[in-house]
Amino acid sequence: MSCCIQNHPLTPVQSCGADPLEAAEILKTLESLYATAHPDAKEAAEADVAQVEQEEDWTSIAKLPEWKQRCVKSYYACMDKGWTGKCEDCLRRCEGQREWPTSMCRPRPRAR
Amino acid sequence: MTLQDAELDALWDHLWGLEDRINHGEPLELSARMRDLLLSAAPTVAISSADAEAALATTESATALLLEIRKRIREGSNRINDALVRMYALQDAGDLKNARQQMHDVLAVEAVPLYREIAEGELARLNDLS
Repeated sequence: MSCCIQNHPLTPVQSCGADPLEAAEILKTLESLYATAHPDAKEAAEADVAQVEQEEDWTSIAKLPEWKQRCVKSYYACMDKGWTGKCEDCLRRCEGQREWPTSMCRPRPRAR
Repeated sequence: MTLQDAELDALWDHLWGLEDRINHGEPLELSARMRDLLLSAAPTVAISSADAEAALATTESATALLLEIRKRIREGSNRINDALVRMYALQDAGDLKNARQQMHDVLAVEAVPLYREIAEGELARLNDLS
């Protein structure tokens, strides 16, 4: 099951037969993975851009279709940068519609 | 008229469903409700009301209008989200100049007001940092 979920992080229910509670756990795992990965990115602040892009380490999702990679990356950004909307809901809609719902989850307007 | 966030999201979500049905071979039903919907949606992707009104003359041109609206939403969403991911990485690397450039590149080609607002907001935020 865990291998299947690793290979289908955005469609655990359909692809792996996971129930919705398991799917919720997957989302928590995604967050946990990100929390683990992110300090590396911060430490690499002095490095050049290419280096940082490697440190961000999107390699685990590199084989996913482009739209799925975009869903995951936007979800991470949504969680990390405190975007508007519910990031989990946007990830789920992104799974279904194959595009990130920017009208729902996006950077917050600047406080005036 | 400016749509509130929730209204815009509901409208765009509805348009996704309509395009999906067309892609599955269902013809667009050019009802009064559909006309209102397309007329409301057109300005959200920088298509003028006059152009939208003209497109409602036939089912074919109305369908083309819907597909164009959806194309602008989809392509612009991909463009701004890809640019944001690159911008954050560059910002984290301390490269504010190239982080800003990601948003300038979006603004150079983007027509959809929501996506332009995002890029302009992020540019202002980055300018505050330097």
